Amino acid sequence: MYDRVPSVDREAIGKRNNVKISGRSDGQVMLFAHGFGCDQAMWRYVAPAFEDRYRVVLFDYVGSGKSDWTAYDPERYSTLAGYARDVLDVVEAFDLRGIVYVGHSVSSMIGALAAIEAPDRFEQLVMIGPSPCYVNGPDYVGGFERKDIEGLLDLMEKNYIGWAQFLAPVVMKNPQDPALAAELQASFCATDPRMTRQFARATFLSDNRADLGKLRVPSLILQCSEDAVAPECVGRYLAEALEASTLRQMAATGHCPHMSHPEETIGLMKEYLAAHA
Amino acid sequence: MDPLLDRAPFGFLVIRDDGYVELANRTLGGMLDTTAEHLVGRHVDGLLTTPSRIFYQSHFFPILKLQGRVSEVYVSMLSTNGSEVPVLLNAVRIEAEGAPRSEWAVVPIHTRNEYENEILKARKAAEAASIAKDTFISFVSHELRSPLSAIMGWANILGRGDVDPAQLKRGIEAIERNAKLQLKLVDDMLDHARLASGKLSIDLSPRDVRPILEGVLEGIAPTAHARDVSIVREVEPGPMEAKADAERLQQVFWNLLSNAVKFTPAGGRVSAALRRSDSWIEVVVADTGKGIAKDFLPYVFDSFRQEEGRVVRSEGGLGLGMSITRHLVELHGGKITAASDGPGMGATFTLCLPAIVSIPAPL
Repeated sequence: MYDRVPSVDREAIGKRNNVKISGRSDGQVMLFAHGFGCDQAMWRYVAPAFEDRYRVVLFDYVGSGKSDWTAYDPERYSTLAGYARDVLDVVEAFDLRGIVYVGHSVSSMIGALAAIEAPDRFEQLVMIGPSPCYVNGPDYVGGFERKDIEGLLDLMEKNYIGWAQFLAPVVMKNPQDPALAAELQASFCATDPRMTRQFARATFLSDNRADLGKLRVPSLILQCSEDAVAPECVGRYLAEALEASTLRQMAATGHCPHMSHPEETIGLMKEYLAAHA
Repeated sequence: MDPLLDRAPFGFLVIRDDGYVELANRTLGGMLDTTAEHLVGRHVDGLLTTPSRIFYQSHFFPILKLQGRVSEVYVSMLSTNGSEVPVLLNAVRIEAEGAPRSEWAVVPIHTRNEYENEILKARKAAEAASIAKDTFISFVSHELRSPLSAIMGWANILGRGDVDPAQLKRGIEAIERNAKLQLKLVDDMLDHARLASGKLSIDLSPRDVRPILEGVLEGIAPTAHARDVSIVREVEPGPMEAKADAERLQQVFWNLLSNAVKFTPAGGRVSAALRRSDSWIEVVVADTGKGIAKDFLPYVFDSFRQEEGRVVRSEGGLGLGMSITRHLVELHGGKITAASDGPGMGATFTLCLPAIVSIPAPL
């Protein structure tokens, strides 16, 4: 793990990670962490449903969305531990406690790493489409071969050659241009190709199976049907490996149920939280 | 479906938020080696290659949902015969009557895909070369600094004036040894630069290869002996004439044999064979040393490539030797290959030079 922030610098971390807080100021903290390829905008169909009871905290990892990209450190973000450090920086800077952490995809494991390091800060983890290891091993089915991941990296590269969605690097080079800056403000999931490529490597080549036994914080695993990124056998593997975990099989298909099937996602989260209050 | 859309010169697809195909046109069916009817009811995951599926779930779908549209997205679709169909997609999402769905326009881009593959390959190669050069500069700095430190250290000691004759001798020898080492490094860099710019000229004239090889074997013998490595000579009788630059050929043999001795542990063996094979003169240098990993074998003769930075540092040298060797052999009109069964299994380098065929004088 990387060094902790030297002082509780709420403003600096708030700006760096584009932290947004809403909901009940005296409510329990619900911290949402977006997955690879997007930013906190992906929570817009789920997070509002919890604002009446929770203090909802959203943020972007450095290198994603509207975070401060100048803070990007290639070494730090070459492993998921660097991203877990972002979570803990936000947690410490805003002195968040008793957290219900909600992570999508890779952020499930990032949340697990953060909760292993600071278990007293977290009450529950909600993992949406999690996987501790994406690449198949001798006695493990993660769903992918290494060549699939290399293929994904090539595909991303090709899209960055000419894809207008990824206008962020242009903005980075012309920070004074108000038109470009406004376009970035209005865009979703803007990303820098170099940083996203590294995030893809850190995500899809990670293997956190050995960390699972260290997690003491209870967790809810939301497993989608027909998930092309995290197959059902991975959800079952996690449920067996994680202490105090609850596996819920969703009717939702795909890998982003919080976007495609927000009602079912909200319902299952509320049910679990009510039962484990 | 409107017949115009059905036979439009692009694929058309309507997909529900849960990923199932609601509608497809005839053109798309043809592109994927099936019919439009067979595409309806299938899940989008089954129509995409594995990398494209991940990209769809992590990038495409979230952005489509948030922004309502995406344009010029490159993915690979899968035809029913298993082949990949590279396509560009434009998609819009429509929230209608509680049943949101997206409409895709799909354009196959076989030729453009090949062109972009080339761009990607070239960019990767440029990035790898840039990283390799950076690594090389740090190697060079380190390698040049080490002998300099030794030279300066001894100069400092000798400069005090209160040294005994034995110490003086040791100091001068150390300075000479380190200066020679540095000279070799600088020579290698100069050779490499000349070869890279095509400015290295060699003086080819008929030479007997045998004495050149034997001279190098004589020269390497003390080092091999000191390292407890035995040298085996397998030199065939008969003429071994080739057009060669004696000095450069000596450099080639020296690079091959000194490497073989350097990478062979005590008790090991290095063999040097010289023989005639058809119209070639073949020199084979084999050792029982550390061998070469299969993955690294294709890069043995590349510039700025090192199998392991740590090993290279401990053995000395910049790793340019084999690249220079290959270039010099090619300037002689010859070729060189490397073979190894893997780490710990030794290595064999085979060098072929075109032989001068002597025509018997008329009687």
